[in-house]
Amino acid sequence: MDQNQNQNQNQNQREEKMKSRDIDWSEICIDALRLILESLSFADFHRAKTVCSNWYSVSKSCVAGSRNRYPWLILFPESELCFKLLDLRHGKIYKTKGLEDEFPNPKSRCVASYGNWLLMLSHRLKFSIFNVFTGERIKIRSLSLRGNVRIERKNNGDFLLEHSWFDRETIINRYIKTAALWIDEETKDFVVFWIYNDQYLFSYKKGDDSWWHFEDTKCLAMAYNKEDQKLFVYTSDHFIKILDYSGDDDMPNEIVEGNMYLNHPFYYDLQPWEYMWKRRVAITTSGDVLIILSLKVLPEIKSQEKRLFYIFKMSVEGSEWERVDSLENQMLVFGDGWLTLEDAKEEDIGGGIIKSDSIYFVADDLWPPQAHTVFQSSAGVFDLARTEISWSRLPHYLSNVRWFVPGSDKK
Amino acid sequence: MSSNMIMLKSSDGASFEIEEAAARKSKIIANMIEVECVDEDKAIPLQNVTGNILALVIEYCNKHIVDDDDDVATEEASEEEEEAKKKKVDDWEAEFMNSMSLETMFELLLAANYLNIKSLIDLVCQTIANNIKDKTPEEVRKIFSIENDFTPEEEEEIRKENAWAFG
Repeated sequence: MDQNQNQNQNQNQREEKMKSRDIDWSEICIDALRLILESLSFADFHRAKTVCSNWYSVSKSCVAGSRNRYPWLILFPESELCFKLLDLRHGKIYKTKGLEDEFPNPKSRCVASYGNWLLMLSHRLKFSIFNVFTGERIKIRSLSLRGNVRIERKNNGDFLLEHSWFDRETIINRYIKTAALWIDEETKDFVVFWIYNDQYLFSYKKGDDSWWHFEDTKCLAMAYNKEDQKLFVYTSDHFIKILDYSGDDDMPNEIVEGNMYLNHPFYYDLQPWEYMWKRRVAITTSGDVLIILSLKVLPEIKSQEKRLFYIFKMSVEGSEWERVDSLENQMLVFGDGWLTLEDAKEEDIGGGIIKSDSIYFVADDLWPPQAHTVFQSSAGVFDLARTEISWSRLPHYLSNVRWFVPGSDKK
Repeated sequence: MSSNMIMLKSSDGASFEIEEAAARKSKIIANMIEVECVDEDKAIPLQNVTGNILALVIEYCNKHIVDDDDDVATEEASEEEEEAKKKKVDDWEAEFMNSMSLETMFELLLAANYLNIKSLIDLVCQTIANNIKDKTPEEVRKIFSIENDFTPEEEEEIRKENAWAFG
């Protein structure tokens, strides 16, 4: 009875409002407001939530820009305490604060990203996870580094790294290139991975007492599948090993039984005109491992060299690796992850395209350009179907640039 | 295509006749038809939708029913034809949305949400989102006549969370 009365009262109030000002947009129902907020672009969303308290509180339950995610570029200027974010689709540049405690000598380097978060590595081998947009930072337990010639786990948890004749900064810059990050936007659970000198794999999962190192296995590349919390590692003898991080232990478990790739090393017979540059691994959203080769091909002596990617996947029978020419309608962003386009429409965004079945890469992912190439941008998109690259129109060549995908895949 | 007609009744008592195929754009109505709680002679009462809004919903559904029917035959349609057709629908949608006020859009959104017509929800949301595009919070408040109920301190604090967006 009381409830009915209340409802009636509310109804009357609402009607009052409708009369005076048609509709009160500050009080519109949560479902509708959520739908509207989630239709906004990432930047519009973050401005709109400051409109009024109701919009702000509803924004808390929304995933910003979730309905239409696409890659942005991030630039790390050397001389400024800021990161520059390029939203090419809307032709916008935003500035965010960099790592403040490193001013005026920013020494950290971004080695991987996941959504709004970057994995930063300092010249003192300190890792931290940094939210580009809010500046929130999670420091990860330090990993002691001593100059020595072997790598070995000491009782106190220190690791000894090779190449002691280099200083630490050089070691870090030269030998740590491959890394991966996963973080849950809400709970802030995370796992980070990196490979030292194409050999040693290290990992750290939130809550671990110390870093873990994959002993007796030389690793070239890896990719993490957040769905089942498994890391797929490409070893130097071309096998795929699987590490399970779902347990509560301080260390992952290697999955041997149940590894469908176990007896199938990857093998690709390079043609005389094909030259290999790099290998990468990626896990599709359906859980399949992809091996991606970056190569240069030169079919005839005088022809123009072409730099491209080959993608391989285990055949349906599970017996051999075969080349595929699609990414199951998704986009692959190197160093970040996968992206499914809501709108399958292809779009030219002034320097690069937004299109399914394409790979977002930076210059370093490709075979270096020929010496006489006058200009090359530092980031581009590889269209798998056309085997063509479109370069981003960046003002000049920048070594310190990455693609990343703002927003969250959480739904 | 059989053209079964069904009746819809708005909250203010207006009745509308609509082809079943068009009405099926609404998941709610489609469900009602599935479980056969639609009496042929009786109108389906839609308590949350007024007549003027229901008329818009029906206009939208009628326009889009044709496209879905054609899906079967599209395999033979050329790419250009496809594109031309899509452009026609896009143009129609732009015109359709252009003709209404923000208030109407809002009511249409509530109705689309209630009737569960996903494509219409998306269309209305996107149109409203376009009204907010690149605007400052002050401009957004003005457009929607929203009062800023934050204290200056609170507002400052929230802006700080994402200072980059105001740069």
